[in-house]
Amino acid sequence: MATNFFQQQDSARRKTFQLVVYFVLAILILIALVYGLLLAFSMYDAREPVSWWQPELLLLAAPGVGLLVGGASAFKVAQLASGGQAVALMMGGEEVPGTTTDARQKRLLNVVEEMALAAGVPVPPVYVLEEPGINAFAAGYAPGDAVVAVSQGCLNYLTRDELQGVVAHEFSHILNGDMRLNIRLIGLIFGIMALSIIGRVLMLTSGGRSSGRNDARGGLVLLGLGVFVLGLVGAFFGRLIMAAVSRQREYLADASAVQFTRNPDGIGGALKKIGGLAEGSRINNPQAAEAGHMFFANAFAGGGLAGLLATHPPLVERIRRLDPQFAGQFPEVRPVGVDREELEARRPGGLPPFAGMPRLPGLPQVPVPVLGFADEAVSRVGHVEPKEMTYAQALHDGMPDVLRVAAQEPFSAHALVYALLLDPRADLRDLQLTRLKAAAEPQDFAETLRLVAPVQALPDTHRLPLLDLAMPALRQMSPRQHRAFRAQVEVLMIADQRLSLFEYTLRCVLHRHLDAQFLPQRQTRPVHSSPQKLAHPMATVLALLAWEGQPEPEQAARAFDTGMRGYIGGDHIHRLPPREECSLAEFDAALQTLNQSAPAIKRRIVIACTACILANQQVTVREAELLRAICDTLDCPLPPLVVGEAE
Amino acid sequence: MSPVIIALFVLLGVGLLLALWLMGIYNGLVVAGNRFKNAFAQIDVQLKRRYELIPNLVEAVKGYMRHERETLDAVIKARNSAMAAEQKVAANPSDPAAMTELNQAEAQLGGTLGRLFALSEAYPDLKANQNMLSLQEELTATENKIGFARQAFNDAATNYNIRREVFPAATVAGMFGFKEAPLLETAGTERAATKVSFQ
Repeated sequence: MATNFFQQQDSARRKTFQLVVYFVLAILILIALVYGLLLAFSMYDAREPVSWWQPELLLLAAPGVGLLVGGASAFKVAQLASGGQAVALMMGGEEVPGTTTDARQKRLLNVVEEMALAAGVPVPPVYVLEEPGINAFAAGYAPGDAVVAVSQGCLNYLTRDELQGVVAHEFSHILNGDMRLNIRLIGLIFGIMALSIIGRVLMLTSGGRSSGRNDARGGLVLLGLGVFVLGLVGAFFGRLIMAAVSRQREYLADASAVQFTRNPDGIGGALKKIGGLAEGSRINNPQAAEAGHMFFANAFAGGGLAGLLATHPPLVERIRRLDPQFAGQFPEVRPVGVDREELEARRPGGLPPFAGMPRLPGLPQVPVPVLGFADEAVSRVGHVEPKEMTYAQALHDGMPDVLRVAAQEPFSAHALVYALLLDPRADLRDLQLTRLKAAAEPQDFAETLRLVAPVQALPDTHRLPLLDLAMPALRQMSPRQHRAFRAQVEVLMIADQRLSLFEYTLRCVLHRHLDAQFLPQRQTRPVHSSPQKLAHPMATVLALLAWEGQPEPEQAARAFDTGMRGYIGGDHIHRLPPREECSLAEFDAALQTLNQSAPAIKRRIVIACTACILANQQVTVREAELLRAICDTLDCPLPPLVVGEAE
Repeated sequence: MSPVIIALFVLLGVGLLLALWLMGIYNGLVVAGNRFKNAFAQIDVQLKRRYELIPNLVEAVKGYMRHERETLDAVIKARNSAMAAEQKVAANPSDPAAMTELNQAEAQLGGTLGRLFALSEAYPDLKANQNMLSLQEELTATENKIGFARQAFNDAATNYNIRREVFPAATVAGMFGFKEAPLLETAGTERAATKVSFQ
């Protein structure tokens, strides 16, 4: 596919411009209409023709409309500040606990977990909407705080493959990096549509009043009619904006879903079932009105203008693109069952054969061949290949049962993070445990102790995926619990007097994906647009990456050089500093600077890092963990480097 | 255009803004309310797990504690009524009557379980029984999970309650019937169970 994560981000920015145009147009027309309404009023009042140009009326209309739309938008945006979860809750979504015993919900969780591992993002919280139709959405500000919500109809009527197709479609929205735009749009659309909502209320109240003077009544009816028209215009523009954002992207997401799963029947089947189901894809919750652009399929029933303003392309057209033979015959839809065995059978208990890397601290990591080259790898950021799906499924199934179960539920999951932070060396570990015992609740400490042995036995390749699996459970902590958790994590990190690479990555992941939910985050605006100015921090980042990848100075220098060339695009003056001069602290500071750059530069940064890692055709776990820290800090999904895969 | 009309429009505009403001508060309450109701789902799963474990436990100790028939019956009875109360709360976590019932039933269950464990001290064979040990272990683990999830639930419910009582929201809450969220109390059970298993 020609498009990638970074191009998508750039195009999302351009789209924002188009939307601002629509939005301004909507406001101007609203002002003009209010002005007209006021004019009609003053004519009615004076009972004689008056001049059509009345500046004082404009002075009344313009700030009035601005205040209304702006105020309404601001309210909505403030409400959505906590990201995807707020959207899901507003729609009445119920979060599926990791420990669920419902077979259909379990299957949904498995599908989402596999997809997230394949995409290199933390597993998002999964919500179920009490809606009989087949629909779904993904929402959030960034891949890290996304949620996936699926209607009850999806669970009832879709097979595993179809469900996977729908989830893959939603993941493509998450990975394409345009959810931030989506969620902000909810605010703006609500601002414009607020008038239509209020207009409806006004019409109802003014129609009901029959007493009073005749012309007062006439005035009220006129007013009601005016606001009603205003509302129609607002609703029209709201839908127009949604349609503009949504329609083209749906084809793209459908295509991506096929690419992720290599199975056009999955998503195709789901779309056909929407056509065959009486409820279709309708969402009954009124809160969906301003969020129609986020759904998997049209959330609103068709109307007169439905064709023009539909948020999604026609169903038949979408299906034809996936299945050219489709004749327009929708299948009869019946609830599907879940095979208990399907859920249990895919649990071999052992680890996948290729992940058998010995966990021997201090020894050089076992090098493994990589799948592709830097450019190719980066062009696939934000895409999931079937190879990664298979790898992710193997990772998912190969996770030891005791750890997978622990990751499903907040109490064990937070102890699991403590256990992950324990040092492999016994003396340091004992020190950490002493500190933890002093600082944590006794039952937390006991749970951590219980998990120490299985975590220590876990291959390095599985550590970050385990953390990703635990993320939804960790998000279920209350803010108070999160504060305590954060304090313990710091205690454990400081206890051994040095920050290890894995600790650093873990902190990046937790910071990006967990703190974002509990602490208000400062939005970073791109301040750097010239790659040359960032060459110095880039060199700092690449230096550590080069030294982590290869112990030999010549090889490290070569990897560093490859990375710098990938970044600058030609010759450069930077040299690899000696190993002793590369510290995680400097690396972190440099990374923070790099984070303030525009998407186009971030793309170069990721290319440079990937090139540096791939310079010797091998990816070690330590390199992969560092790359994960880099990508999480830059807020983009991990390029698909499958660690440990030998072909 | 007469000043009266202008005043009317200004009033109208202010009224609209007010309506939007109220709508914002209303939505905020809906979100906070859904948040605490969602938090109950986490406890729900663990409570159910515990209700499943208790009959197994009774079955395991039955052979040893032949003379404690009464205690065993009381445990099962308390477990059944707690289970019934739990179902009601799961259907609507904002129902204070159901929550009170659950709190009472859980306290009852905790008390009877505590008695069971205390009595089991007198049976050395039972204390060495592998099945009994693993059940106790799992019960403790479940209690710990319930404890953590309950804390999260109570935090979410308290957050909702505070939101609901602050001035402008209090009016909206009154108008649209946002009721105070009930809290889930600490039942005695986990203390009893924990004590036994940590010996």
